Amino acid sequence: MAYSTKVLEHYNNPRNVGSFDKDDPMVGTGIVGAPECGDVMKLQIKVNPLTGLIEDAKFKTFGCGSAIASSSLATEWVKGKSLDAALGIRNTEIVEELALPPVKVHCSVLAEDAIKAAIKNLQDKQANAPQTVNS
Amino acid sequence: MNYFELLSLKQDYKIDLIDLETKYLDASKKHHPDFSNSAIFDPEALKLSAQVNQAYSTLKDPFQRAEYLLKLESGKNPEEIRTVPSEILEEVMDIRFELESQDNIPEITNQLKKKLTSRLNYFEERLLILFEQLKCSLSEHKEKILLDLRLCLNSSKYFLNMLGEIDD
Repeated sequence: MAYSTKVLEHYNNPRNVGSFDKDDPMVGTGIVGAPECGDVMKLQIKVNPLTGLIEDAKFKTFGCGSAIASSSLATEWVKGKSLDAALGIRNTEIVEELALPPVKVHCSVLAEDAIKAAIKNLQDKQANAPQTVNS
Repeated sequence: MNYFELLSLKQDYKIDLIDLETKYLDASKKHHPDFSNSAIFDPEALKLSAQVNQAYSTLKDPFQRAEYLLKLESGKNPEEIRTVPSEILEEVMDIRFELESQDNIPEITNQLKKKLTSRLNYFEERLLILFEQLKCSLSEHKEKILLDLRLCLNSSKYFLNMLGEIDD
């Protein structure tokens, strides 16, 4: 089965490959996987402490072309968004943008899960962080 | 009839492989179309004979056996719970990275193979412990053990895949 041009484009020029320091308090890390196909996807977001917006995102994915393209697209889409807006990204939008066939829909689900996991990780971190008091 | 019944085995994860083979040979003799008394071709016997083979190859493998038994015990398909513990995914990511960055250097390949095999041995032992626990657990603990079994099998799939890729 042939990949769509958009999948190939992301696959050949993946955006935002790499990683941030996961111990950085402004970084949220989401790592998710699909046992049936063996894919692993790590997506990280970095939030600007002043604006609260996601200023940067990185990913690392081991998997098929559609999984790589879905995570690459996800990092592009979350950039510049607030956490709430990023939580609103649906896998169906990824399916549509990349023209994923039904058998590859689970790759987009993985990308949505990765965004959610990264945001949850950041929120957990912030909830557990010692409060800084400005006097 | 499930695979255990088909081979006249107790429905248990713990299995004696020699016993399995003996029972398999008995069952294939019993159901083999060539041994049929009837002169007429019997499609049912053929089907049963194929099932006996399928049962043997499934129960012989520790991970396939666990997957099959878990389905019998939980009534759920593997896709229903796709969670994998994040520390396992981190580990898989690291090993994947090592696999990718090594240029088929035999020593490194062998080292990785050893690592994957020892992880799989660990998962197999864990499956054995969990299935033992399941047998003697109170009903309110069953769900938790079934979930642990699912997570363990989900995790082991990654290691089986990677080992398969190295062997190819």
